[in-house]
Amino acid sequence: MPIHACWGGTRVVKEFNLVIIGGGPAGMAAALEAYALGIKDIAILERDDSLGGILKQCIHNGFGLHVFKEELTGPEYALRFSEKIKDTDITVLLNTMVINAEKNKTLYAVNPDFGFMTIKAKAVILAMGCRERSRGALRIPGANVAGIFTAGTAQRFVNMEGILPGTKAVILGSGDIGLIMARRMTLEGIKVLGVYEIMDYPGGLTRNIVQCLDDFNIPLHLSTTIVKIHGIGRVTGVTTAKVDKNMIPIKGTEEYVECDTLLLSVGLIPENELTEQMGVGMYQVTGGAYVDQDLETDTEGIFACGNVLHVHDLVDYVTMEGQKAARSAKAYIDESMEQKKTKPEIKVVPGNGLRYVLPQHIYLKDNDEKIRVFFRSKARYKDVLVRALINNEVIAKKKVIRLIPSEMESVEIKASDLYIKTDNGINLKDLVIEVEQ
Amino acid sequence: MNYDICIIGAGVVGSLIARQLSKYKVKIAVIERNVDVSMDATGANSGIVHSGYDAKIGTKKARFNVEGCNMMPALCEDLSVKCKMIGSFVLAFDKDDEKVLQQLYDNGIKNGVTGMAIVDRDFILQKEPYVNPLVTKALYAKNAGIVSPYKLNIAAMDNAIMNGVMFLRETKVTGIEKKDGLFHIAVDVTGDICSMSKIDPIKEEDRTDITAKIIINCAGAHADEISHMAGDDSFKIIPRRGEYILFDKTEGSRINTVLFQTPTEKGKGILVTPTVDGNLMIGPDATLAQDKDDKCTNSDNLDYVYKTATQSYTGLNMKKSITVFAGIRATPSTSDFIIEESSKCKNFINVAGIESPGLTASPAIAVYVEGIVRSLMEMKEKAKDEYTMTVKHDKPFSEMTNEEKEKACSSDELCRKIICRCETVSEKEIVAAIYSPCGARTVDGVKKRTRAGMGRCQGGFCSPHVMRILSEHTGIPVNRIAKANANSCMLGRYSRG
Amino acid sequence: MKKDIICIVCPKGCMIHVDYDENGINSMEGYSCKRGIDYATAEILSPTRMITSSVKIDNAKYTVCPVKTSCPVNKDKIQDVMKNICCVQVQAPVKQGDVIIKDVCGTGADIIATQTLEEEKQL
Repeated sequence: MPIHACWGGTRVVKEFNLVIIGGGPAGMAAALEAYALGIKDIAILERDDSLGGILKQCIHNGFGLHVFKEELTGPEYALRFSEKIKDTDITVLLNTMVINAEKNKTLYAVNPDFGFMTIKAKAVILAMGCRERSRGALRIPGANVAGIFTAGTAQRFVNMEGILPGTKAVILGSGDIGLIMARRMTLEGIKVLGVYEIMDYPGGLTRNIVQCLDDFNIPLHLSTTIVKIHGIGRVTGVTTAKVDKNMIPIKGTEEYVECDTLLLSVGLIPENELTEQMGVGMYQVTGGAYVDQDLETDTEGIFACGNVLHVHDLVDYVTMEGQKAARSAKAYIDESMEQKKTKPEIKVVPGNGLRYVLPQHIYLKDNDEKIRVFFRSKARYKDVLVRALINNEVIAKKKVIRLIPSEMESVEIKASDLYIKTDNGINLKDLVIEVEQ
Repeated sequence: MNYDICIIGAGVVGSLIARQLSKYKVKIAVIERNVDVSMDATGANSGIVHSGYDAKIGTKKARFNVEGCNMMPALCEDLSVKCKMIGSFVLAFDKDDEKVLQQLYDNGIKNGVTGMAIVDRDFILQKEPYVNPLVTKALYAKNAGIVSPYKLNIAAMDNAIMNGVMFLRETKVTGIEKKDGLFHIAVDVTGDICSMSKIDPIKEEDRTDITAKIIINCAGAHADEISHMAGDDSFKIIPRRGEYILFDKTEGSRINTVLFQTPTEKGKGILVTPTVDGNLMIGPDATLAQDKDDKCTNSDNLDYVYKTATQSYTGLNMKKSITVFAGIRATPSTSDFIIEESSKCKNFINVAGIESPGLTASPAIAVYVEGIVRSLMEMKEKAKDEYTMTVKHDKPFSEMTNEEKEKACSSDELCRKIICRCETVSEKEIVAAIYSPCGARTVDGVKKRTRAGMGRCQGGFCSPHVMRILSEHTGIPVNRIAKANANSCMLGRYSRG
Repeated sequence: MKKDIICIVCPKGCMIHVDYDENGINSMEGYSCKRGIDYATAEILSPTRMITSSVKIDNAKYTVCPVKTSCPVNKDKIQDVMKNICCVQVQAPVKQGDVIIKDVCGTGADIIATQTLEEEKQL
């Protein structure tokens, strides 16, 4: 483990070429890719006591179809990376919490082995993942009682600590973690009374609706939400209600459901407090950093990937994004990355039907680089054409059979096309990605 | 067990009284039905140190408010509790409001409030850029501030216990009988957290055959029921619920002052305030509660709180709300604080109906009650080295400078384990909270003392770790660790036996 | 008998209508590829599922170790397999891929560990 400087008795200052914050799927993929590219002195800072991040508690299968062409469970997927990292000289600092960070890529972290550390990096990859929306963020009224869990916290208790959350459960939100937990709890003998979804379509993948709910006759109530939590000490029940088109509960449709456990699977929020401390510019819609095609933030040498950048549906895509961030970091460290500040830059904006795009800006280059722009839709579409427009000219198109908010899509654009259509970077217009009307 | 004084209720009032009396050579017990202090009205309080201009002149409320406000900063200093005298505005938006401001100002002068001024729009907006720009004038009170009500409560009880006060948690008074001038207090044990905990000092004999020479009734919303047990039905407590919305720390940095709305016949309006820990909070409304323990929030009320708050403050971002909660105020039927020996029952002191500005008044109430007790019973003060009136706390890790963090980490391994990401709380602080005189036994207890779980993820990440630490140190099995009282177990059974 | 099956082979989610009796499948419509036919046929004749769960483990940092069936097992066997999983107890260290139960409930599938858990010294 390289400790480059040590003075004043207790002061620990570590210097690395590349520091990756977070040892989940994004961070591990970035580290291995960076290592493979020949970056020396890489460190992963991980707050838990082992690598793997949230994958360690996702003991169900379905991971890795794209990256490994086989179906793995979460821990297995994580081991594919963490075992490889063991065979490298990548510095892995576990039980390490980064508590503060500065724009100049100085990080302050604490861990049991070294105490308080000052860590300096040439390049930083942000891979902190995301957290779950809590009851408070939703402001579900009612009693302030035990028995309310975010689905992921319940998942950790069941799958890692071996303790069940309760005996009779209701799940709010039909995101994939909620659906997976419906099955998991049922198999453990917990009665799952129903999944309630405020939207008029399920949030999770169809295969999870079939395998996690239908297989066990767990009802899915669409356009329904929870309007009140009851109980003294612990949850004793919830009141559900149908909602109208504006998602406002309809009076008179209330129903009482007796339960001792409420799981919330109502969305994930990128965990960007450190990013903001570093003064990195944020993109409101994703809750992640504002990035260019290299996944570089608006702060030089700081890159972001995985769920801290935007919430992904599949871990495979997180892995790929981590690898991409590592490639960019390599170019930055080698100083082979073109000086961006001198390059013309265009904005990428979501047009008709789309909620967000990523990257949010592109530096124009006259080369054959292919830029993949990811996007999510606002609503559900069938058999639509998504197109990329600049100066009212279509430069790329993609037919999408099924476009839904819970499934990320992408379209590929040629850098040279952008260059030409902006009159060699002179006539700068926004690149619009939209659903063709 | 025979005690000289039994205080019923460990809210901020009961705890400060216990502390005040703990300097005397008397045997004191505080009887609390909950597992911790600060679990009712004190725990869900606005945390405002009111300057004292609105209570009616001549009332106990007015007197103790002004006295308490003046005492609060020094008391908080003694107890290592954060108190920030940041000042308050009462905002006026039209001529009618302005008239009320003048009345409040005049009333404040009569009550002896200092540091007040009626200020104009520019002054307000310069200090508070997010106040609704339609504001016309405000009553500025320099001598107002914020304090953490539960931190004050906990520190007061810590101090009392350090001086030998017995804290009987999970103990509910069910009857009071007076025989030969001595009170016999019947109690029920309400939970098993203390009996499961291997570090709890409560022994069974401490809460069997309880007798007391003096009872001080600080039972909050239930004070009328306790008073009834002693044969005094001279007042009733009307439970009035108040609901709050708490916002992320990112929002707290944009507000510097406590913002009140001008009171009208309809009510006192909704306040917008920073908290001592840097969050932003809005609330409370006032609705009649059917049940004294019904601390449920309601969507209509929360909507009202939000909409009313936006009338005076434009900086609210609902996406940044992190929790909602409700508290029950103990409104007395007499409309003023009841702080006196009962006329029906000698040596039975009611400290009841302590609604707003009760938190501000509590330091002054404690001193006043000390006087009542001294008039009833001869008490000798302990020698100076036998008691303390100060509590020292290590600085929270999150508030340390980098140099201090470095030093703390080098000397203590537990500092190096950060348990709560959002609030940067180390394992050392959690362990200290468990072993403090009035130690935490529950997840909420740890949260109030250390802020672990108080942040934006609301314990999503740290609660498994907090539960493990609680279990390791108290000996309570992880799956029996409670959120609040014993009936609020966080988890169910082990899945594999 | 008739049954509607949502195909889960790909994200398209075709609704496949199957007409079948005790002798087998009579007709099928709504699919858009061969994989859909295979999926629906298996769902009618012998639906199978992967089972993922956890077993009790001693001397590890956690009390449970995650496991899975080595191949999909008949849906009817899920409850029986779970009963077996709940009864077994393993000792750390366990390596990912270790067989925990051989041929669970005669399904032909093994229960295998999906995580590597080192032996932890108990305090």
